[in-house]
Amino acid sequence: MKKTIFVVALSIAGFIAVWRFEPGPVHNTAAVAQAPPSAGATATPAAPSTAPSTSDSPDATVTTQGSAESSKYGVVQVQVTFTGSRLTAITLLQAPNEGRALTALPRLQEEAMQAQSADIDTITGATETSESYKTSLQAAIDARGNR
Amino acid sequence: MSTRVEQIMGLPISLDLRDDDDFTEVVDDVFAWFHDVDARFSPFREDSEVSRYDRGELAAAGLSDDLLEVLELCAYYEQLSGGAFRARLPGRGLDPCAVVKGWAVQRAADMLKAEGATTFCLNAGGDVVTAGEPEPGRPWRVGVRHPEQPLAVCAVLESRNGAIATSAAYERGSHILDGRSGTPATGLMSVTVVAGDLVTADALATAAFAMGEEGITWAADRPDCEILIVDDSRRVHRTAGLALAS
Repeated sequence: MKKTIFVVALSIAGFIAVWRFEPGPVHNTAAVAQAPPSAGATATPAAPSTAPSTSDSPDATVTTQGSAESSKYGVVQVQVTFTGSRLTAITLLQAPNEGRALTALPRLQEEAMQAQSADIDTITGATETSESYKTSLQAAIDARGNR
Repeated sequence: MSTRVEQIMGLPISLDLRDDDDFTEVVDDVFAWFHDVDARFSPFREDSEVSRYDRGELAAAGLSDDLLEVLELCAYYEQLSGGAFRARLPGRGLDPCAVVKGWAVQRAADMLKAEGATTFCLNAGGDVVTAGEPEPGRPWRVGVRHPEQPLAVCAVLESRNGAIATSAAYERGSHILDGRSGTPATGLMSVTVVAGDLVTADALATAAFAMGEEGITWAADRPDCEILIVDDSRRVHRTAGLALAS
């Protein structure tokens, strides 16, 4: 059980590190709580596999509150819920009041994977120079339009 | 319907116009405008208005209304960004490029609209203004270049009447300097700003990139814009209102 607490504490520490990057107030707590395990895994890679459940029944629900941490964006405090060894919810108990909602959890690679399937009419952030333009996605799109 | 691409200001500028009427004349005017802007505002041309003003050959009273407007915009964003965005760095000449591009492209889009164009996508080196819908019920889909893979996108945004700009260091090296220190900006891989006009989108993207990590909250706090930022840890930060294509 001690090890479980240790892992949970580590997990909370992991989340706080992420929330420190969460500059805004978070009106989208629900979205975070519903994040699929793969997104949550960014912050808690060790939790599902290493949390021992020797003294817990497999599906016992454990809710733990993290300490209130002050970050440069304000005070952040999270509550996490495990069902068995699986992380099932993250609730933000305290968050900075200023600024707008920002999501910081998705990783670049996951975002990029989802984006590859969409049709595109144009590209932002590319083709600064003629050299790179010749080999760019934007040039291909423009060529398609000229046909 | 017409498409046109030209290399001006060192940038490929493309126009994808979907209106049925003949807009040949205004499209010619738009590209002539870009050549004109290049001639007047390039700090790389010795005879441009910007260079002559910088060398003291033109008095402030003798400047064109356009350059006065550009200088006013530079001053506004310098103040708004706490000096991170700066058109004149110590020891360097006047370089209003960061404002000129967005301003010139927005002006071109306004020219098209004034002549009745309703459906187009104008892209100048990755800074985009959109109008209308390319197909009924479908917005323009704007891919955001993946900061590490030139031929991949990391997000796709939907846009009807709006503007999108991205600032990053991957194409021209670390060309964006933090005006507060004079050294290349660090902390972010790319900053994309969606706003109602390209003057705002382009200036905010450049300023936030120059600010580094603190640019994330700074950009998110600007009203009437949405952001997508990739930081140096490859984390993606985006505002809740960002219109991602499904």
